[in-house]
Amino acid sequence: MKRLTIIIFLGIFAWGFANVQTAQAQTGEELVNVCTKLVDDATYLKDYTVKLGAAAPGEDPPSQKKSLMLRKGTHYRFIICSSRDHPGRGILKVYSSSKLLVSNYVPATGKIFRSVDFKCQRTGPYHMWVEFEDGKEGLAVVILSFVKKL
Amino acid sequence: MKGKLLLYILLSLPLIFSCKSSNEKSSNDEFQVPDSVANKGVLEVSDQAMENITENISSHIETAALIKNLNAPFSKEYLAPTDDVSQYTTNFEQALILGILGTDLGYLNMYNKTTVSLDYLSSIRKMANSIKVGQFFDFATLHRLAKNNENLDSLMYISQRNFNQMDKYLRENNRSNLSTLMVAGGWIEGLYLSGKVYQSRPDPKLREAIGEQKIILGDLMILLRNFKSNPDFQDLIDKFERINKLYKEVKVTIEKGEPTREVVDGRLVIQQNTKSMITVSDEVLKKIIQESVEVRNEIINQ
Repeated sequence: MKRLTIIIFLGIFAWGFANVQTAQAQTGEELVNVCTKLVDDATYLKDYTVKLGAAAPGEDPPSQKKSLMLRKGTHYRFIICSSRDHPGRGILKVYSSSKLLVSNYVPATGKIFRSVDFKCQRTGPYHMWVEFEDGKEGLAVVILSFVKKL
Repeated sequence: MKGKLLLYILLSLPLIFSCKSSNEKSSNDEFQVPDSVANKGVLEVSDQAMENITENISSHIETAALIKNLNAPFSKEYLAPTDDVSQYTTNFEQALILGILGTDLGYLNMYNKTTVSLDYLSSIRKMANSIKVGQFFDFATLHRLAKNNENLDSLMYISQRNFNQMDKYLRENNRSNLSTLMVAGGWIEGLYLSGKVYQSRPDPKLREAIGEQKIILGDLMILLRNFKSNPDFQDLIDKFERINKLYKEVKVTIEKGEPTREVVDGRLVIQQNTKSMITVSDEVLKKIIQESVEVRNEIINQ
């Protein structure tokens, strides 16, 4: 009887452990829901989920490119949320005609902002690259939101 | 012996349940795609390029926001009728109309016209189910929010996200032809709405917004031409080409400037100082608006 109790206890423990592991792993979808709550007074437009492995020694950090169309006279807000289950903190860089225009990372101070506002004055395609600090492995979600027309 | 057997069973419970959970998700996500709606033949533009271009077509919300920002009064007359969406029987028509209704829903949401939007939600659900993306349209939640006129932010978020999810799903499942039609429908309705508002309330910002559609239409034509071997697509290309031809008279110039950065209330704010300028004559603008109204009406009355 004692042995049976131990076996049942072990089984319940194993089951519970597996479920806790599942519950703790933050998915991209959960991250979108968390990140969307940070848009404040802005209106959600699009979300982009980026998951990247760690950079190999001596190589540049892996990155992923997304395209977006932004319109003149519009105040946009980019919010980037990084998963707590991965070491990398997300860095976004938005380019217009190969020129870096927007980033949440300020090299001079090393500060990584959670969000960055962009007052667009040129309608056209833009390219957004997402990478992780120091080339660490990471999962991040970028929310593009609309604040107002200027 | 019995004890060991029981131990194995108990220890394998987590595995059994996690596998079951995974299978359930999979069966909900998958369904048969009729051959008639899947992409056919070799596409001229790669899937990656298609994705980039599709992402490059801007959101319906921005057009609706611009219109509202001009203090233009709401008009139900501008919207596509929803009384008989069952007339749209092919996936081609359904995807196109879905895009049109999506833009109308954005316009309704922006003006907080939740009572009117109930009809649009029902029609969108019908069209989404018809092209088998209804699982991404959270009708129950949207209907509850609209009916109770509550939490407009959530209503806008869920509806916008649902459309993004439908579009993404179609592209990821070899049905980018339908995604393209949704985008095309949304775009022509946005231009139609802008044109209609401009006719009653001419405003320089709206004039520029209509003119700058030249940039977006260029991308859209690439998407549409990718499916030109399909006669229905060719017919739609011909319709959009009528508008595209007029846009050749619209000039886009760029004035360069360096961006400025500042931190405001702990938030990094970047001001772009490179500006795009649109030059369009009154006559050409009038023709673009007229043509877009005709093309949009031909689509909804086909």
